[in-house]
Amino acid sequence: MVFRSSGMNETEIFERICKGDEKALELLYKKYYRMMTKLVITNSGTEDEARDVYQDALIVFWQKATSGNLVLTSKMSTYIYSICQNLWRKELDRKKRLSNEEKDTAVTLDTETSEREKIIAKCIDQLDGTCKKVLMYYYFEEMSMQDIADKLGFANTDTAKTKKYKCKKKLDDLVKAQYSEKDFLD
Amino acid sequence: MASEKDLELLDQYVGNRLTAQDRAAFEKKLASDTSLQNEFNLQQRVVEKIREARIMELKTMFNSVPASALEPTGTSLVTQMSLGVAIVAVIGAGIYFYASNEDTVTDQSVTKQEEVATQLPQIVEPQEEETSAPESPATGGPESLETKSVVPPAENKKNDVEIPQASNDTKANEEAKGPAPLDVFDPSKETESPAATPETKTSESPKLSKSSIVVETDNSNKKYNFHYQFKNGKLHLYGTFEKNLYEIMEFFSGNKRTVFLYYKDSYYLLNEENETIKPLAPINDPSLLKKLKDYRGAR
Repeated sequence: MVFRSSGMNETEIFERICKGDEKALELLYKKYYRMMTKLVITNSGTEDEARDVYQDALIVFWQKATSGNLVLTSKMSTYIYSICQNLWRKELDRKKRLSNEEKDTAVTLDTETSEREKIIAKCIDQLDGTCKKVLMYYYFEEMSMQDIADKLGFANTDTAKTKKYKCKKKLDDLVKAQYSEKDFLD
Repeated sequence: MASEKDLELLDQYVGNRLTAQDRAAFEKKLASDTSLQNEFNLQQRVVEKIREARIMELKTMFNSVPASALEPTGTSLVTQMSLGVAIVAVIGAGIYFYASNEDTVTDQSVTKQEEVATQLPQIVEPQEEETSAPESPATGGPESLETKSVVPPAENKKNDVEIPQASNDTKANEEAKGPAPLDVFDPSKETESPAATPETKTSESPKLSKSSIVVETDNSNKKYNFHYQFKNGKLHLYGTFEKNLYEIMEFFSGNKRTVFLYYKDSYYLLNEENETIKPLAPINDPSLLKKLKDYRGAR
């Protein structure tokens, strides 16, 4: 199958991404996959590493675009490429450090923290779909209340604010119910 | 205990929604309020997990994109170059084999039968003009159409010369064969010629084509587990012969035919004298073995 961009140009794709359109993100993912992964593969990376780096880079790009913190001064591909370069450089540095030293200290795992994180993750899973989306759009995409209202079909920003407040409270209550305050606030 | 207003500010802080100025002010307050710090630790973890969950969602979306949708629209330069090299190699090989077999006139021909031959394209008949070349790895895949369009039909035909014609000579020999006494054909006559260059070597090499012998294997006979028998014009092989691993080699010298079996790196002489079941005994004569190997290798 050959990828086609459905006639959308870069500006249109970028505008849709800024509004949190996941279809546009998927389109972008397909469009630059070979170009971006090649960067890693031709610099001593594996296909899996290349894919991971590209996905991470695209998520950084998506997060910046949806939060309204990105003003593009170059082509999208140039911008994403530079993120890939930085991420891969960091990964190579990390691998180099790991191969040289500090392996034992890095492996030390805080099991208590890990347990708490698992509990939080479970509590997030217990939320209904809309609550999850509201919180994700608010804390990860950092969307405005207007964008959240538009995306989820709320009547206005006040409805979105109330929904977000209720969902966050519900999550906090779930988390706190499972662990005493002392467990978390030590 | 943190106030409601502090908690609201904290939420905006962990949600990256404060201005730089408000942020700095909140951090100042945070540094001096232990109760607020505790709440901050909790909220930071919760928000971090929300973000991680979202990242996982997005990655799942990426990973669900089929690999075929990630293919580039055009053929890369490297692929094009590889294709070019493959095409030149195919054409070159075709010309070489065509030229070297064109004028070959020998009174002997060697026919071979391989089980695998059934998977290959039809043996080329001399009168056939249009035959398709076997699809090599270089020409397989998405670019195969391009390759086929570049290779002229004439070249395709030449490629097939690699599996030479089931010649008329062979047919004539088959018709003429009779219950002749066993006269083992000595392939050394063929290989002893001072054929150093590829041209002269191939011009004197025997023709290879599909054998006329029909082979049947029988692995159910307990008494005969590595035997053979010529019966009713068929060759019966008794034993657990692995499919695709044996070959029948026929050598014709005048009206006489000598048949060999190749199986698992050994060669066996097959005596057609009568219809008795005979054991298969490997040939040990080094010079004969070498010649047989040479013929097998020449296919």
